[in-house]
Amino acid sequence: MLNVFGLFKNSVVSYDADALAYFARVTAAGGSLTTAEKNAANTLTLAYKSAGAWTSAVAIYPFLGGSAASMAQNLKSASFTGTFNGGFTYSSLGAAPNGTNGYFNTTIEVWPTLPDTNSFSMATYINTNGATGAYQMGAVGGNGTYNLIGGHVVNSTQGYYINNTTTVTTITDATNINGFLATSRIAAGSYIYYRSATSTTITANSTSVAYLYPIVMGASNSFGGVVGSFDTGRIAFGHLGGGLSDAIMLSIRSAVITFQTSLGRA
Amino acid sequence: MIGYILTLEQKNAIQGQEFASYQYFNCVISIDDIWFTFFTSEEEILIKNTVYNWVLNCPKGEFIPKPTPPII
Repeated sequence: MLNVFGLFKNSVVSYDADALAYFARVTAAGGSLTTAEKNAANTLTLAYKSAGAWTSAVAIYPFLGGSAASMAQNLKSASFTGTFNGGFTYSSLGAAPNGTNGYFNTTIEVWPTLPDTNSFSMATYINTNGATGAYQMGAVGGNGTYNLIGGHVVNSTQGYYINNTTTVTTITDATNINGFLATSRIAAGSYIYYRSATSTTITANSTSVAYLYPIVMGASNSFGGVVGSFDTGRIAFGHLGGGLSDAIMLSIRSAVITFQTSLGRA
Repeated sequence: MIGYILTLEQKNAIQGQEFASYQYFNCVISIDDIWFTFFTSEEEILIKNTVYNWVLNCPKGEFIPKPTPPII
């Protein structure tokens, strides 16, 4: 845009304060973000706040910057910086675990971080297909409670989406496991699982909180804190927090898909 | 998948140790109860400049995962 002197006017982008703090964390960690990545992260931050999902979120991992240092950073706060364990390939498209020993540790133990049994949500976005026999995200509690996303962990068409319960419901889904994958519980007895274009309510399950073992991505944490069922789906987003209503989670899903599309990662 | 074969002592020496910013070793056990670890070529470059570079001289072999009991 030209000013009155016919000179190009600098376009000033005003970033959200929390987005700016995230940028600073990335820089302090030795990473860097492109302008496009900053703009996308800023838009995602504003979308979370507009949807009413910011406050209840504990961790939002945008997986930006193309390096382990940058992708480990939590957009929501300076807490719960993640760690990469085992083999990963990092790029502007996300972090791809090797399917043999690679996983991202959020370090978040559902209890005591999110102690309300009836309020829990977790989400991921993978932009290459998840593997058969693998979990995309999750942990098993010492009391047998599950928080798991494993779209084809049982076989090439069946898997689990489980939220704060000991009850296992097998989900048949013949399509490739990719895109937005999430669960959200806001009440006892039911929760909703989401894919990019669909969502389904799962009912008749008891609630309890998974404790002791942190939620990991690209695999699942299991009894004794042994991580297994390693995935190969390239990770481009992660979320952990209190439960989100269906309306709010659908807003977040839309925002995350927009986020990925704006960066050419959908 | 081809990986680096480790003795138990070697595995204990690196398991959970940081080799680069926010990047940690993770070892897994094979069907024959042998410890393995795996790196990308980029990770090998990073490890070469650490005190753990000896791992890159460990023998390599084909990893067959132990059939782990299902999480559920």
